[in-house]
Amino acid sequence: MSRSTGGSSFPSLFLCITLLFFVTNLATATNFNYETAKADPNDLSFYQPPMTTEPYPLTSGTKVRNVIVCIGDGMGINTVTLAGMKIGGPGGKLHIDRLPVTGLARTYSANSLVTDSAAGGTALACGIKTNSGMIGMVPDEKEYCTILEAAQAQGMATGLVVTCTMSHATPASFGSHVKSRKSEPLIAEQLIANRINVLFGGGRKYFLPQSVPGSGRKDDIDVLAQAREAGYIYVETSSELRAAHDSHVLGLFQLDALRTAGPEPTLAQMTQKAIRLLRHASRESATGKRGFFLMVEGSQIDWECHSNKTKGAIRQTLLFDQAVEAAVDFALKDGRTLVLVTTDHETGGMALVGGGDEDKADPELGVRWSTKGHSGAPVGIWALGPGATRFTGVQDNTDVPRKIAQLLGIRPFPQRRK
Amino acid sequence: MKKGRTILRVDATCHLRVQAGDAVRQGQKIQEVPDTGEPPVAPVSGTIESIQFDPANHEFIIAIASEP
Repeated sequence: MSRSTGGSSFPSLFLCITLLFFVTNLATATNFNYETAKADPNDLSFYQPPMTTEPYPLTSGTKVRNVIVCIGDGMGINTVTLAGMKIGGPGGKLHIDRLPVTGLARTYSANSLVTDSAAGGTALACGIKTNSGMIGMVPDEKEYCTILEAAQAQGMATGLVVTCTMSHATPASFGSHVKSRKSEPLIAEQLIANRINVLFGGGRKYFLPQSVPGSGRKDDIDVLAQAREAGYIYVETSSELRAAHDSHVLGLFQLDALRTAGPEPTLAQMTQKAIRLLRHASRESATGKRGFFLMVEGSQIDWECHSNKTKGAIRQTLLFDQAVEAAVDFALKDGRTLVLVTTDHETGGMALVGGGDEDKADPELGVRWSTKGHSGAPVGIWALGPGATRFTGVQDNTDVPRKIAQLLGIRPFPQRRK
Repeated sequence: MKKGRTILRVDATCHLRVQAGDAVRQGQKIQEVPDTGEPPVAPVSGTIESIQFDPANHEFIIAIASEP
């Protein structure tokens, strides 16, 4: 016998709606839904695998308002597959694998079949080919706008979130223009001068004048002071990050690259915070609601692959996958956000040979590395949200920002920088 | 004569032609540079002692124990 009656259903329904409203608001208001990671490569307890291997829904028919580009530096398709197998067996899938649209991209640079992160990042940011080592310009040093700069010129809020130094090659490719990726002090200045709303990562040393112990500069320029003068709030701990609610926030959580372990914030935590700040900043922009562009990089997958460390590569891929999950969570609720996941190049030439003994630490995974450098293997593109289907098929890495520009109504692109 | 140790730093993008334990001769190419670049060569003869990746500079640090 049912206990429900016409008289009692309305209060029950009201209670349910109230509870749902409260829970929804609590979820969106809570900071840092992700566990802080430990440094031990064997401890993957920070990672919560997807509850299902089903693809995320394919959104269609909506105009793109926000774009989140997630770059797993050096993350080959086999790296993603291996990490999925590690957490879920042979059929295991990461959040990345659940994005409903997939494609491939070729990554050669202007002077090599095997690119580096500077030329690879420039292709993904500017839609042009350049020589390895160069950032934001073609080989003859003519500068081109990045997709972040073009979005900013449209009135969109912008952000960069990384686990390397803030001025490392990939973030530099989206917010600076230099002949050599090694010019990190100059890149730091340009990132601030470009007034990117959110800058989260490591590399404080390039923002400090040479007089400060630990500085990586050979001059007296105080980029932190320049940032404060430009209106940035500066944070360097998780608690300071939680408390930040401003339109321009610079978060540098280590002197050098991040440790990717507590107490510093994880990539997923920084991504969540960046999305919140950028949503707010885009609402406050003088041109009204214009959305945001955010680039998130899992920078250290590449580093583990250079050292041919399988467990480290899996750990870094899972940390990156958490950040992708954070981006997807927002995109599914928002409905007008395009999420792209890709990489600048593959590193290590990883092969899954099954039962191999190359990696003594974890032989059951059967991993064999063919190089300590990068490879010219095509890389994966995974997409979700409005416009995602444009990224199917085999494309060039320079097509990625060109397609984003089309979706955002940015013309012309690529474009020379004035 | 005393055994020397020479440190060589090379960009980490391209494939190395040597690994730890390999014997190298002075002038021997130690890295594939596929297109226009000049491949780095061993500055001394000896044995590759270790190869480490330096993420800050995106370089390999190659230690060569030179022959007496």
